[in-house]
Amino acid sequence: MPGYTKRLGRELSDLKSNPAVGISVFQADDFRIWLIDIQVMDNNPLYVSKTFRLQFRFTPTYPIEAPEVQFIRSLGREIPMHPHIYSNGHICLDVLGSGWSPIQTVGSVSMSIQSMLAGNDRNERPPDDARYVASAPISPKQTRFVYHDDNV
Amino acid sequence: MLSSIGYSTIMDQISDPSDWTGTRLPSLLMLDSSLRCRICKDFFKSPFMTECTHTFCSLCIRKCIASTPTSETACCPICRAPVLEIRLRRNQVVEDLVEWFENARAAIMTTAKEEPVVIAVPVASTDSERVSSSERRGRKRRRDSVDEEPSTSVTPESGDSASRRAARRGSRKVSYEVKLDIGESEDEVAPFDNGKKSDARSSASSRGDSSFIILDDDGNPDGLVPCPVCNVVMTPQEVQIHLDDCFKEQEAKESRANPSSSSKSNDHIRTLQSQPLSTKSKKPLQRLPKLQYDLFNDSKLRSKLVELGLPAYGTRVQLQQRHTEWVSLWNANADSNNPKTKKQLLRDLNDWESNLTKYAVQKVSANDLATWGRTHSNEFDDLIARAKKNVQKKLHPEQQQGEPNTVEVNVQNQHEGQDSVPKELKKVDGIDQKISSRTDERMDYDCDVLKGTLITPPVSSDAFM
Repeated sequence: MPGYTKRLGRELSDLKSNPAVGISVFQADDFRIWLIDIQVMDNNPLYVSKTFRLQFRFTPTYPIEAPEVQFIRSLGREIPMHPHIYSNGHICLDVLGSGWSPIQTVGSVSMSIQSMLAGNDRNERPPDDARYVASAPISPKQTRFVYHDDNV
Repeated sequence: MLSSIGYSTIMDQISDPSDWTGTRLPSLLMLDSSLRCRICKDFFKSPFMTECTHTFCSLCIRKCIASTPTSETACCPICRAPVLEIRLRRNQVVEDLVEWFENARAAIMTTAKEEPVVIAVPVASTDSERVSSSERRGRKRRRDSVDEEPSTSVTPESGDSASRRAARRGSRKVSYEVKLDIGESEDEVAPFDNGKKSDARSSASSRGDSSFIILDDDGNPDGLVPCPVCNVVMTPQEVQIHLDDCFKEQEAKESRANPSSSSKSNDHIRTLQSQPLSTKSKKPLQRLPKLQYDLFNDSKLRSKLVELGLPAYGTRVQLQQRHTEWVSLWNANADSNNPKTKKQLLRDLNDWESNLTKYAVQKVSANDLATWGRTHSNEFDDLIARAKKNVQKKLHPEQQQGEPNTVEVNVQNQHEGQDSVPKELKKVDGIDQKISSRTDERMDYDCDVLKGTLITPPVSSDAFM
């Protein structure tokens, strides 16, 4: 049994036994792709009563390397408006790239994204959204994001 | 891809700290989780400590360090303090703790699940014995009294059935096996020379067997902590002073390595260490050095791999990855108390590699590319139309001169965000058909260029925000 499946199995049982508020596992049938639904719990008018769907894609190098994480569209699931989230669902967040550490988990990453949404009050996309989306790679991990805005 | 059967068996096999919730001993959850590596979430295997005093499995931290581009950039996964592989130190105490806990875990779990949670019930009797898990643990330390009078220590509850009693006895028995050495060392060690502690001890003993010492959660007399080395109980301030001497004393004893010289108080330490020492002395395994891959050309690297007995096929990247993984596996194995044979290690390496290739094949699955083609079909149409127009323009004035090269340049200009267009053009089934169905034969080359731009995007496209 490869090590990463064991670790993901533990994460899954942890997510199911101690679910964090606003974070629920929608689909985790294998150790390749998981879908996690998140809700922003405070009364942020941008996201109130909305649910968003995150897709986690794991490689055998997980958790030494970060998973691919992005928002996906689905029935009743939109890409949240945020100055760091592109309209194709790619997220510019340092913990998903250079800031990744193997002690992070699906739960902790979901929580980071949840709080990133909760702290936002700008109803806008990144300034280079159109340009990025037109030429974006399939995997957000192939994008070299430049993190220089810590305010949002 | 993992079948659903494989998935469910994995889910059944794994143990998790959350197994303790809902049992009689939920407090063991924290103990269980602190004996696990934060990287693999499994019990520590050959635990090693970083300079920032965080502990990981040998293999986990080595892989983690190996994954960073240079050794200078390696940092602790927990606190991000710089980590050097040569500064890693074995954490023997944790290794022993894990071994003992793992041995006892199943038995403790069975007992903890047998009986429903009993809330601490105050009893009217004078000896104030209670059936709460923390105090029961305290009682274990006073082994003698419990052994002599097992019946008095059990709370006379109205609904105390025989089976429950039996279960409780079982649990006590299990815990004795775990704690026996520690209890012994504490009982028989010469009292550490300080007034306060001997006061606590003498007052406790003067109260006799039926009396009850106030014990904290760790099972020690209130406010006192045990020395992590010799387990003698004292106040926290005293531990600070005592610890240095205690370490020196223990080291001296170890270096002498003379069984007759060590006192009985160190017996448990020696029994635990005897195993690793014996296996080590049998055949010391050498650590493998890391390679500066820049200094090795392909053939040198291949011969290096052959020298190590590893397969030497594949691309340069594969060779490097294979070597890095092997060094991590090998060195972690050298750290282990029960090292595997080279054959087993080679099998591990093979498993790792087949997983990687399996994943690589999955990644470029037709499904993904079909979705990609569908979502970007508008852009494909647009680009094809433009390319056609350009070709027409070129063809008309200068017969046969409109080489696709110029088209390529135009296409590139429309994608400013990209650094370069990959030279290698991939044939992709779904999209290939899609595009060729819309275009005549003359356009084939141009379309390849377009596909190259869209399907295999450059590895690094900068996005500023």
